[in-house]
Amino acid sequence: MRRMGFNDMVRMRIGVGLIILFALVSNMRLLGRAVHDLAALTQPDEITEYEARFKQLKQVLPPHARVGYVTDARRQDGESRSRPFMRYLLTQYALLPVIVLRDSHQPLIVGNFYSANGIDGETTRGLTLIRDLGNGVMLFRASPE
Amino acid sequence: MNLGLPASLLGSALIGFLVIWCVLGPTRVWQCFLLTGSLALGLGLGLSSALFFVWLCLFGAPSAAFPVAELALVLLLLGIALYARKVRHRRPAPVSEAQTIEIAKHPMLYLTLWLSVGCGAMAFLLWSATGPHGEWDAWMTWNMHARAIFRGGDHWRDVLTGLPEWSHPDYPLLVPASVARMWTYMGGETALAPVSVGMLFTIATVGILYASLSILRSRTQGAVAALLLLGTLSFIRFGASRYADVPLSFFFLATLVLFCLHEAWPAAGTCPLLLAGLTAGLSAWTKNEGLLFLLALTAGRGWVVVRAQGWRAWLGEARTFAMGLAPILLMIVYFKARLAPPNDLMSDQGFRETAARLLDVTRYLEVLRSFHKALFQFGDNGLVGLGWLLFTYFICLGLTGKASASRGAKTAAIAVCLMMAGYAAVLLIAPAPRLATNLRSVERILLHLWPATIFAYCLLVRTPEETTDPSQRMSHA
Repeated sequence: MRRMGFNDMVRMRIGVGLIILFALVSNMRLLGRAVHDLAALTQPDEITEYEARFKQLKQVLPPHARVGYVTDARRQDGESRSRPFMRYLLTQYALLPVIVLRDSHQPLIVGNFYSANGIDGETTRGLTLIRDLGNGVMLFRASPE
Repeated sequence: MNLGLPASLLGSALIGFLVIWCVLGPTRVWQCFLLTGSLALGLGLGLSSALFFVWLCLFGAPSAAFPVAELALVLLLLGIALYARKVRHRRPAPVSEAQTIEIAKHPMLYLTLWLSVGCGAMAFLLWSATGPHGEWDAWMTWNMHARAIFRGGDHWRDVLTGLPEWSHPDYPLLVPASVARMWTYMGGETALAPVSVGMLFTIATVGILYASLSILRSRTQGAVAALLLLGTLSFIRFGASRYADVPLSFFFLATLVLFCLHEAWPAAGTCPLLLAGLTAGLSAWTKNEGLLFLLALTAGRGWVVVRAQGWRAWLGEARTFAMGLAPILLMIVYFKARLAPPNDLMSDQGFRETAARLLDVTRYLEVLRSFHKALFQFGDNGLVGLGWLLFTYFICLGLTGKASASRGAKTAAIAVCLMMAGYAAVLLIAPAPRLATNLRSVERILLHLWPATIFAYCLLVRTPEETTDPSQRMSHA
């Protein structure tokens, strides 16, 4: 039988001490990041903003419809490449249970533009504007060919 | 104030609790309340989401009658539990070996644990306030599916299956169905529902890790494990983001814990394995990765048990495990066959395409590079990465000589290693556009296995008590 060595106790204390130190540093960092993210938040968050933007359109659209989607053909200055896709996702998220398809081959087409005054004529060619709900949100009908 | 949310949370917790009560018996439930309580939180959410899905399939829409039906089920389970208590022979549950070990006093360890719990909870709440809809994948996939179910009404199938491919309508429904179930209780949508699901799974994962190791090894070891998990920044971050990664990690951990408890509690017979079957099935109901876990677990457990006790013992275990697994697996098969479109990772897997990907050396290098990077950076808090910390702690404390701990740890370690290999294989054969996306999320893949890895590690490493108590060391000195 071995007697408890001084080394064993020291090693155990070092081990447990490291865990404690790790946890303390991690917790400070965790809280710091969370506080920083909260401070950097623009009010309200983007999804809530989108929900409010599409609220009126949602009431106009028939539930369980499938609609098309058009948006600005060009990205705005400084906008990331994934941003147009994100704007489409947010539209789908806000309009559920309506299914939004990323094309203009449906009888009804939702327009999501940066500005109501700046409709992109290229993407809306052949579409008839039914409702302009403001804030860049529009509803089109596919014109019969 | 809308009482729907607390009622739905209470309902799911009661379902989980009563199922555990019926299977394990009241004595053990009360004796190990933190363990069974944590297990009940996750199991209850999983089972109630499954019930909600069955309701939708049978009756067609989320309706106000569902809470009434669930209440009837709770009363039925309560009746069964009380009846079982009456007829059950009152066998005193054996006190586990770990409880006889004198708990070394480490006030700083426990103080830090409480501090970590407080910081974790605060950070979780702050992040939940920052993004009430969760992060990218959370709202794009899980919340989107929950909305499709809830807003879809009678047409929920059409809305869910009609969602575009990028929303992954083939993903299992544990998280979306849980959220939609809460909204059904409340009669409307609120961001509090997904926040509650994320929070409960995060709490339950920490709780079950601490409680199981306190039973199987020692309380100090449980505290070390909990500190390691709470100190992993991405664990709290992804929990608050409302991704399904933390719920998945909960079910992986719970399954492995129940296998260990099956060994530690011989008097409980094969009952813990029945629950292990349920939790393993619910992992596959959370994310597709759960199906891979079923394979890894079967292989890992089979290897350990067959080598130690032979085929018969393994078949006996497998039978009880399958009894728990079967109902959930049947539901998943129904979902995959009738509702889910083909998975985008698996749909483009013809022999020629897959063979070409497997023969592409650059893919191996890419996958290795991402795993290497993620492993070394995982849990890095600016001071040290978790890999280095675990290595140093192991050098300081050494390996345990306890045979039971080693057997349980072996199952967990083999399952974790097979899962890693499986994840790497899936990445290797992924279509090119998906490969780039998935390589960026290797950290999340590691998080699935992280609580189970800590569990296996803490089973294998000596406890502080074993290191300093000569009588504890005698067994392996």
